[in-house]
Order: sequence, then structure tokens, then C-alpha cells
Amino acid sequence: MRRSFLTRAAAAAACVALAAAAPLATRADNGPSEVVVGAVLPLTGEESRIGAYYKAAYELQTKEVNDQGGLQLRAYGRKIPVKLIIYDDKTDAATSRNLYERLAVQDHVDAMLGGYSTDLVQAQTVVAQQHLIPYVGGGGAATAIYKRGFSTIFSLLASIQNLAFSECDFIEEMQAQHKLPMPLKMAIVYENTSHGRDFADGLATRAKQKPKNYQIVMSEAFDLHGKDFTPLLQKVKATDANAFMADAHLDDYITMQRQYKQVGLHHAYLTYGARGPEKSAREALGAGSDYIVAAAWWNQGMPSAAVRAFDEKWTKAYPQLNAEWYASLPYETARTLYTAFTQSGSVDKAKLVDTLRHIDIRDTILPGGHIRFEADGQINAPFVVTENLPGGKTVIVYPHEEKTGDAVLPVPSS
Amino acid sequence: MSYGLALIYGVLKIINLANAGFLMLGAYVTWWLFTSFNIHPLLAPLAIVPVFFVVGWGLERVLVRRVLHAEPIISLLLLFGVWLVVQSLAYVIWTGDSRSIETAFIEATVNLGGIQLALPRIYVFAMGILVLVALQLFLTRTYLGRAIRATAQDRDAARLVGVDVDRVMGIAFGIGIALAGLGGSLLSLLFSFTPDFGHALSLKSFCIVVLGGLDSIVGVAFGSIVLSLAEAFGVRYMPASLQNLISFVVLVVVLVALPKGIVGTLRAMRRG
Amino acid sequence: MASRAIAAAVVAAAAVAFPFAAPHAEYAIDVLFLIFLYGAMATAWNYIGGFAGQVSFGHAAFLGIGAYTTMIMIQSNISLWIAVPVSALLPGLYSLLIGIPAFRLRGPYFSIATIGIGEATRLIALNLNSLTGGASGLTLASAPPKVVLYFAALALCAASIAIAAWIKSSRFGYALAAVRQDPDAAETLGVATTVTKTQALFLSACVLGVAGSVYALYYQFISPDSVFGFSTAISFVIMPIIGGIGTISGPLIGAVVYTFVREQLTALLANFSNADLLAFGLLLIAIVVFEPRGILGIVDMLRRRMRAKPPDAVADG
Repeated sequence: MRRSFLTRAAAAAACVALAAAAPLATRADNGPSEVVVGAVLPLTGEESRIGAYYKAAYELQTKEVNDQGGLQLRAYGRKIPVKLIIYDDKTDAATSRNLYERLAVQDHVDAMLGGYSTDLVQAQTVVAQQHLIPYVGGGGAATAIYKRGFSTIFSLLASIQNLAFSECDFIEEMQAQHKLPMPLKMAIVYENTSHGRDFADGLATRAKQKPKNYQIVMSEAFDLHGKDFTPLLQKVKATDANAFMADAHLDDYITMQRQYKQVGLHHAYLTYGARGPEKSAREALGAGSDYIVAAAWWNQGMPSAAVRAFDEKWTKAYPQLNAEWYASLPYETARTLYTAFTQSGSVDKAKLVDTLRHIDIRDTILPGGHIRFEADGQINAPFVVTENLPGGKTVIVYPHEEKTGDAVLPVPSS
Repeated sequence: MSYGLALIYGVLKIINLANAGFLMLGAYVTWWLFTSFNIHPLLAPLAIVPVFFVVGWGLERVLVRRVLHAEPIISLLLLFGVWLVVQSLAYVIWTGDSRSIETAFIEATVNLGGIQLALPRIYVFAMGILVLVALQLFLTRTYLGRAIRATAQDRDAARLVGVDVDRVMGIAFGIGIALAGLGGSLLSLLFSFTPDFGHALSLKSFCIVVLGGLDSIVGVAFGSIVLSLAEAFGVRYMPASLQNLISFVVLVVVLVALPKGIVGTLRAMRRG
Repeated sequence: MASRAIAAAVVAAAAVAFPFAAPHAEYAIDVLFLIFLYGAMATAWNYIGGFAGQVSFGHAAFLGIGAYTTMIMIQSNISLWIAVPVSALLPGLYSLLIGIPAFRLRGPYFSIATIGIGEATRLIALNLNSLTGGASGLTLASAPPKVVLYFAALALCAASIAIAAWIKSSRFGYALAAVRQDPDAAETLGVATTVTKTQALFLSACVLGVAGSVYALYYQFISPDSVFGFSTAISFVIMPIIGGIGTISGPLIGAVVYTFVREQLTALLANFSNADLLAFGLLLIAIVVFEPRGILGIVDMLRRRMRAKPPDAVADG
């Protein structure tokens, strides 16, 4: 009895040690057999709808590269195919982090593509930095993520503060045309995340710079994925605000807007930050989503030919997924990474990071026309401001280069 | 109109022979019926209540009965396990996507003396009161109801006075789960939901039950009112993001100051 | 008894030797780290959950407070030598505070209240932006090397188990068992049930505080959802049940099973969300209904069956 237990324990320990110490797959000196890229996405959980978009976009771009034979890397004199690994983090930050860790130490990825949703990205990026793996993302916009002194993290999503500024630029134009009151009395409600706080901070900064145009009468945080916003909305009702500025994720936007209507609220200007024209929201809210203004990182209505081409390509590949910014951002993100690989010429991580730091991609479908990263790794691109019009239509109202229609403001009272 | 909500939360915990886990179970199995068969949400309870009753009764017979004689911690853990399974199944079947019910009824509002009130909320409030009254009558006026209360107080004593304890346990469980299902059904008219739905609510309902006194149904009514008032006032003077904290603070205050709950303390005071 | 001690020593020796024998097996070290850390936490949960029979779903609060305390102190340039003990003490004090209302409740009511405690702590951490960074969480620029933390987790696990062993064989342990089985009878026998429960919870919270410290140093990033999350809290309940609630080494065994199942399922069934929770739920039900003493209980039962076989049968087989 004693001996068998002993031997069993010792054998188990030895097995574990041996198995784990097995030599890593060695790479031939004329280059790796494949370039391994990994990403962890919320394929299930609260953000699963958008996680599916990111997966589709990453896969589409990877397929395009592999259809051409792979990435042409100078250092090895040949094209090397890309292997894309995607895990599901269930919209949980700790899981996300652990899976990126797995990508780093188990799958030995050469680079990482980013996940979606600020709180997940916040946790994930720590792993990339710890292992000094290049991380190119299109899913986390809060500035807090990039202010931590990390060197290998890059983001194609412009900051939420920029989002707030873009909307403010638009508001000031509307005020000049007497379509909106001056000052605009804003009731700000924002999700209690870095994303939301960025939005509130952006508005507060602009309000301080231009006190004639803006007045903040209320600024409050609410819990993400909440159920009952009516107490908060009643608080808004008690103010004399003429603008309702919210920052929320998709499901909270839908819940809140529904309750906004039920409580009987009405303001001259109504926005949910980056949310507004999403097809699922329009369907869920119907006319309740009309006249909502949104500022997004991309819109399929943008008038350039390149955008039209992308729209067609996407719709052909994924007819059931409407081409929203959830599609184009990850697509461009993957494209940026692959372009960086080609430009740097090898899978050397330090070289790749350096290439990304100086990269300047001009033929992008993103507004602003450049993919270029600031010192902290985040892109500095403008936003397109849209407004939902009755009948399921959405028009781009700002900036002028992308305009497709006139804004209907103030919001008509029903 | 958050009184109605609070009432539902409280009612779900009334027959506390079962455990909080069933509250969550009831809530999201309800969603399933809604999202798959297009039955109008107002009619759904007609199907839910009997089906859930049978499920609860069956659960008691198959699983709970086996652990009744073990330490109380075991039945708690069993029900926790059941809750885990049911929640995970919900994730598997319906994914974590936020779901909601959209019919004309949901959007309808009514104008009462200048105040806009959402029709679904009024309906839920009314139903809450109805269920409360029905439960009170059942538990005090019928033999079965009194047998249930007796068994809840002391199983062996109940057996001694001739109560068929096994049958009663099954029925009580069934009622508990049926109520949970009904509650979830009503709440689905008001909120969007994910498989985590029951989790946050169970806390509020627990708070109400403790507020009102663990054995009193009238206490639940009191508890609901106190809690919803506390939340309504609290939100005006503190950040809205702390809304859920209010129920917890109230809970702690009551536990420390009035361990028997409001009604229990009043009763004790009356007895002198 | 001696065989168990020797087996434990062998396993411990293997665990200590591992990083030296296989320095490049980063992933294995990661997994072992998790096992030891979870094992430490599950064992500590067991002081109050298994020994005293008070099932708490809110233990993540202690982990979180420990983690945040360490993070904040290190960011303020306070030495680890001070930060870690404080990270042990603060959760302990917090446990005393919440014990006052919580221990007025019995059984399932106590458990539900602990859900509230965990959630309330999370909300507080989420909203105390200036101190905790709110939703953005806190990041550590640098930390001790992972190997060092691996040993820290190992040491903590050993300490946690040692404390459990001490409790079990002491009068304190008997008092806890009395409280678990019948608190009223225990009171009549002179056991101060509330004080006893409070002591167990305090010990539990302190160990979890240190675990939080190690957690923060290893992951270098914490946020209210990651440390105060309900899924973390549930895992502390699942692990001891699987391994053997109320036993000394049960929680560690549960931690091994839990970690392996999670790692393998997560990778294999990428789209099959929550498959791990489903598996654990079913396992839990099976264990509670058939063998409430968990894996250790099954092992014990098998051993007894083997011993019961007459010698002739063994020789024939």
C-alpha cells in the first residue's frame, strides 16, 4: 500500500516534469513554416455579436493573404502562409488575459491581433507587453489603455476623447447654423469604464474651452450591462438639459433608449457616443432610434470608391453581417499587421514593433486616409458623425468630405 | 412603479424551502419559452406556471429528497450545483447575447394625470399584488398552505400531526419554482436579459425578505415598499452607479439593527 | 499516515524542483502556478466553508482587497515586505466587519448574504476611482520574475494546508465541526459559535489576502471584474467540493481538477461557451448526491472496498 502510493506519486511528478520539458518545435534557419498570429475574441457573452464580426474580419483578411501564397518575407526569400489562432474569452477580462498568455507561451505566436471591448483590451495588452509581442488591435479605444508606457501595443481605434471632440465640432457647426441652442445644456451619462470616462472627460474639456457653447448640467456614471436605468433617467428628467449625451455599449444603448422613451424624455440633441446606426439597434428600437447622432470610426455610407469596394467584398463574403465599423476596423487592423510583416521582412518581433512605430499606410478605408500611430501607440484619426433618419435611413452629417446628407436638428418632438 | 418590481423580487422568495438558486432557474427558462415559440408574453405564464411546478416537484423527488437528511450545507450545495448547470445550459442554448421581448405592449404608455407611466410596469405591479394576495390566502386559509408552513417550521413535528411531509415538500418546491418562473416571465416584459439575469435579482429579493422578516408575507409587502423607496430616494442623492449597493446597505443595516426584520420586530414589540 | 506524509513530501519536492528541471516550460509553470494559488485559496475557503459549514460565495472580496492593497502600495513605492503583510491584514479586518451582520444569518441565508458582500465590494472598488482606478484597473510596470512568484504560490499553498491541518487537529477544529453540524447544540455545549465562526473567517480572509498579493504581482493588472468577479467566487466553492469539502488536502486536489478541466475545455471547445461551468455543475450535483466527500471520499471508499476483499479473491485475480 505504502510503496504503491509512493511510486504513483513519484511517477506522476516525473511524468509532469518530462511532458512539460519537451523541447519546443525548433525553427529551421531558412525561416518558419508559418507565421503564427493569435487573437482572443468575445465569441460568446455580452459582446458576442461584435466578437463574431472581428473573427469574420480577421479570417477574411487572413484568407486574402493566404490565397496569394502568404506573406512575402525578405529575410527568408519566400512567401510564408499565416496561421490564425482565435480563442473565445467569453467577454471575461481574466479569461481573455489567460488566453493571450496561452497564445504567448503555448502557441508561440509571432504577433497578436487585438480583441474587442475596452475592459478586455486593457487586461490583454499587459500580456503582450510582458512578453514583448507586437499587438495590433482595433477594439479598445479608451486612452487609459495606452497611457501605461507600453511599447509593443498599437491601436487603430482612435480615442474616445477624439470621438467627443468630433461630435463637439459638429455641434458647434450646428449651433452656428442655429440648428442647436447656445449654450447646449448637456446631461452626460456614461458607462462606468475607461471608455465612458474618456467620453465624459472629452466633453468636459471642450466645455471648459468653449463655455459659450456648452454647459454641463449633469455628469454621472452607470454600471455596464445594467438592467434598470429609470432612476438615472428620472434624474436626467429633473434637470433642464436640452442634450442627452450618453456613452454606452450596444446592449445598454438599446435598453436605455427604450426606457428613455418610456420615461417620456425628449432633448434637442441625442447621442450614445459611438452607438446609433447599428442594424440590430434599429430593428429593436424602430422609430425610437430616429434622430440619434453617433460618431463612429467608420460608416459604410462613406462616399469613396474604396469604401464601396470593401462593402461589396464584405457583403459577398458575409451576407448576413451588415457592414458596420465592427467589420472594417478589424479588417484594416489585420491588414496593417500583415503589411507591417511584409515591410519589416521577417518574424523578428523587435523589428516588427519598430516597423509599426513608423508605418504610414495611405490606401485605407478609414476616415482621415492614414494609418499612423502616435507615440503611445494609438492612431489619431477623425470620426464620421451620422444621424439616424426615419425610415431606417442613416446619413453622414460631418465632416464635409464624407457628408451624404443634411442633419435634422433639433430633434423634432413627436 | 418600482414597487411592483420589488414585490416580484420578494414574492419569489416567499416559500423558502427551496433556495435562491431556483429563482435564477425560473427567470431564464422563461426567456426560452418567449424567444422560441412566439407566445405573447402575457399568455406565457399560463404555460410556465404548470410546467415549472412539475419541474420543481420532480427536482425535489429526484434530487433534493436524497440529501434532506444530510447536513444543511449539502442541500445548499446541491441547489448551487443545479443553478450552475441551468445557467450554463442557458449559455449554451441561447448564448450570452442580450435578449429582449419586443411587442406593442412593451412600448405602450398610459397618461395618468400628466405623468407618463409605462403600461408593462403597471401590469407587473398589479400582478405582483395579485400573487401576493393569492399566496397569503393560500398559505393561511387552505389545509395545504398551512401544512407547508408547518413543514417549513419543523418537519418532524409536522409529521407527528399527520402531515404527509413528502408530498408537501414536493408541492412546496413546485410552487417555489413556479413562482420563480412567473416572476421571470413578468420581469422579461421590462428588461432585457442574459443568463446572468437571476443573479443580481436574487440579492434584491433576499434583501426584501430579510427586511420584512423571514416568515411573514405581509412583511414582504412592507419590505418591497421600503426597498423601492430607498432606491428611489437614494439615487437622487448619490451616483446612480451605486444603485445596486443600496439594497445591500439596507440589508446590512437591518441585519445589524433589526435582525427579525421590520415585521418581526413590530410583532415582538407588540408582545411587549 | 506516514505514507501520506511521504507522498506529500515527494509531490512537494517535485514541485520545488520543477522550475529548475524544465526552465523553458513556461506554460507548465503557468499552470502549476495557478494550481498552487487556487489550491491555497480553496484550502483557506475551506476553513469557513468546509470546517465550519458556512458556505461563502463572497470570498473573492478578500482576494480582491489583498490584490488592490498590494498594487496600490507598490505603486506608492512601499516595499513588498510591508505591502504583503498589510494585504493579509486588511481583508482580515474586513472580514471582521462583515461578520457582524453576516453571522446573524444561518445556512442558505448566510450564503446569499455573502453573494451580496462580494458584489457590494466589487461595486465599491469600481466606483472608488481615485483609489482603485475604477474600471480601468491598476497596472504594475514591473514585478518579481515569474519563477519567484511560482515559489511564492507554492509556499502559500503549503502554508494554507499546514494551517488547515493544525485547525483540524485542534480544539478550534472541533468547535468548528460542532458549529457545522448543529449550531444550537454547540451553543448549549458552551461553544461560542459566533466567535468561532469569526475566527475561521478571519484566518480564511488573511490567507486570501496574501493570495491576492501574489495574484497582483503575477498578472500585473487587476480590475474590479477580474478579482471581485462572481465567477472567481464560485470557483472557491467548486474546488473544495470536487476534492473533498472539510478535508485538508481536498481543496488542492479540487484545484488540480479545476485548473486542468478549465484549460483543456477552454482550448478544445472554443465556441462552446461555459462548457466548463456546465461540467462543474453536473460534477457538483453528482458529488453532492452520491459522494459528498468528493474525490477524497471516493478514494477512501475504494480503499475500504479493496481492504474488505478476502485474501483468496486477490490471489485468484
